[in-house]
Amino acid sequence: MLLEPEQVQVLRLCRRPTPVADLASDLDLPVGVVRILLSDMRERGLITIGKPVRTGLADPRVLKDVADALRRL
Amino acid sequence: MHSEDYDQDHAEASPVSIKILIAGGFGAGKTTLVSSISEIRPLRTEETLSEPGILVDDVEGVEAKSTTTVAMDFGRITIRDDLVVYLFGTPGQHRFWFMWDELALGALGAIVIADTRRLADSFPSVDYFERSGMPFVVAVNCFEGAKMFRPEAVRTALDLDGGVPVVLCDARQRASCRDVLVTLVEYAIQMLDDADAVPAG
Repeated sequence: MLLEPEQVQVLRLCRRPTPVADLASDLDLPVGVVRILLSDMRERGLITIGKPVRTGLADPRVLKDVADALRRL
Repeated sequence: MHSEDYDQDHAEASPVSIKILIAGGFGAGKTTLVSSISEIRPLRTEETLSEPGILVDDVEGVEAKSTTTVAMDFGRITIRDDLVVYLFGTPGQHRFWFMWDELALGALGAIVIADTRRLADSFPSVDYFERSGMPFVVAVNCFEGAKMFRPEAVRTALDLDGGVPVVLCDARQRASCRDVLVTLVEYAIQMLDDADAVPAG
């Protein structure tokens, strides 16, 4: 089955794990539409959907890193 | 989301992303803050039309249409390849509040921008984050011509808990926005430390 042009773009953009919000922004499509595209692609085994990494929220060391980096902005 | 929404075998480690919400009344300076401090990006989301929305959005002839597209403030600050901070402007209008729970999921914390000329506009945001238990700071946007308030006066007017930081800022100034973000992250660290200090049980 052929892919929609947007889905081809998704494959190009998702070589690395990419947040859905970034994809929606890059594709200039509403988040809800991107979710449907992704869901179809996942059913066909073209992509996987990973759980968001939450370590930053529980790890003060990561947050201190973030605070230091922000101070340098 | 439920765990079955995610795939088990996730080959490559995902970058750590920190999500920060930017809230406040309509016109308080959310868009200005996001664009001062981050690489701002267009983001649209489809939302269900509510009754008042139908009056605004002309859906005559497309009666089946039940959603409308909403533009959101969305910005990213790339700290390292594997560490990115995302800013999400929460919708100001009442009709989009149902989006908040979804936006709030997994967020590190929030910045509530207050405009001292319309301080009451920030009550709902303050209420929301107090109830959610999420760390938040109040940033008083010092508009030109607006009367300057002391942070303590704003704290009293908003009836804030003692620990919630209140800072003055100028949303147009990058350095000022940066300081607000740093205040929020430091406050979140402090809340983590406090939680660790309390014995479980």
